[in-house]
Amino acid sequence: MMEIIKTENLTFGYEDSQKKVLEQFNLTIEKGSFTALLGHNGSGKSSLAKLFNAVLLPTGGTVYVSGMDTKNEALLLEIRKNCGLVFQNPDNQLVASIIEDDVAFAPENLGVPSEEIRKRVDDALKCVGMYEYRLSSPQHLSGGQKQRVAIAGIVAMRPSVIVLDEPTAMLDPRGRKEVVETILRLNREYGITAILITHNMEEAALADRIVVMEKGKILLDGTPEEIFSQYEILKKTGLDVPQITELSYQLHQAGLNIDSCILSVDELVEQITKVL
Amino acid sequence: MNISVENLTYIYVPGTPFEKVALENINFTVKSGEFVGLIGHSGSGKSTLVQHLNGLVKPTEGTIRVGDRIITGKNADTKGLCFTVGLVFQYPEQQLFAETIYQDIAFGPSNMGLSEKEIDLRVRTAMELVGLPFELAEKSPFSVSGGQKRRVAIAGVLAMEPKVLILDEPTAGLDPKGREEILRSIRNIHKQMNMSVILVSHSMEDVAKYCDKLLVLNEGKVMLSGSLAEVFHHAEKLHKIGLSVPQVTLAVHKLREKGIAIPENIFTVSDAVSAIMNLRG
Repeated sequence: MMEIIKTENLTFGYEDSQKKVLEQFNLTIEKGSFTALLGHNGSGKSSLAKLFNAVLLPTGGTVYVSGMDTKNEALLLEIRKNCGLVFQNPDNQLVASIIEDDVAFAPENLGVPSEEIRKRVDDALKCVGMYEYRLSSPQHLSGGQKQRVAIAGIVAMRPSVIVLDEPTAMLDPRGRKEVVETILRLNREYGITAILITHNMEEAALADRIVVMEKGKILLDGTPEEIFSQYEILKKTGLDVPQITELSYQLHQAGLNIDSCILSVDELVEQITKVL
Repeated sequence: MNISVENLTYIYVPGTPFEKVALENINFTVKSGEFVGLIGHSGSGKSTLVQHLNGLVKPTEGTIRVGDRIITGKNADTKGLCFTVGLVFQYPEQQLFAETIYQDIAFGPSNMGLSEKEIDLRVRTAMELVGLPFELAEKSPFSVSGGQKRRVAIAGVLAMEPKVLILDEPTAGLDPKGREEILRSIRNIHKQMNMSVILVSHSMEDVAKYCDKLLVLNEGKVMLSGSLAEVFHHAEKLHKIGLSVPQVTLAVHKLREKGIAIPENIFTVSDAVSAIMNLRG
């Protein structure tokens, strides 16, 4: 497997604070993977996201994006093109008054020829399922739709990695679902490496890999099954497991002969039906 | 304190091309001491509705009673209503402004014209209720963590000792522990102060755990209302408008479909565990 992002002994602290946000942090993200990044507020997740595309620079160690050192200023544009960032608040990320103009913003700034921009904008909007809205104004969209337009704005740069920092925190259940399905499609059908920062355990369960951060270090790293089976550690860290996993864990503890770490409703129902 | 809403309609900018019916013929009551969950997807009218309840928004038609007073119409009695009905907005930490946490929480009670001594007592009580140690009182509200900021903002509303507490998505953006802590504090406050609470939320799991009654809004209308059992019985209907039932309830529904004789009305993990273990006899 090829690595697309790599941090080597990454250390980071904000100027006005003595405290290190990240310390000797080593993480490798494989190309084409879908990783969820968990951790309580203040564990260093958002700083890490910004370090991935050189919004922030390491105070020690190195971050490589597709082999490029983010400290190398000459590569800045190339790095940002490679690794796009989507933030929490959909209202803060849209700049134009027409949706397709908004999506065209980045490729225009990158000097992409105009025919190519047209093609990229159409592709990107189709990919997030917002093509029919291309000529409307973003202000009339729902939160989930706005977030998908923001994602299209990144997709139009043809990045290899997309990092999403709690993109669903402000959305209702329908908006969440739309955004999560879009991320899955980008990853599975378009092969874009996805890194999702979230507090929602059900969303994290959809990733191939979960990395749990605490106090600027990696606490756990593994598949959703491996991570959510660490029930006690997660609870101690102030995190949680999906409600269905909680139920399977409690039933297992109570002596029912089922797995203690079940991630889906159907699987749980099937196992319970067998033992009853 | 009872709240009753009768035939409430709210039309946004009437008589202009942007005219929009935001709320249509809404009827419901919240009885004294009830803990009510208000759910519905974005744009369904939840925030507009709760802003009616403390007089921030005036209805186009309809009557709202809060306790003995009528707060709508020509002779609306809204004096001091914002002290009686405490409203905690979404992302309330964005409204923090004072130099210290103490001053920020004291702002509401100061405006009520209370004595220094009473204000001090209220600030201390409010901080205790939301689980903020009093040592933080002289710190800047901007120097504490996100979860703590939100507690400061909630304490600022509690210090007015409202009879009704309305919270608009109080846990949005918090991590699981922060969520749990805030919701638990709200439940304790509800019990200790015997307040009526209205909780606006997108999490079915949370409303199932904390609320006695639910009100579901869709496109400005009340689509469902009643006990948890009455509302979550309509899983299909909820699903159609982009909502859901809690995951455990979904699992219980599926077990029933498979012919397992488990009671239908199960909304929390602990109830599901005991019901399933009971089946084994």
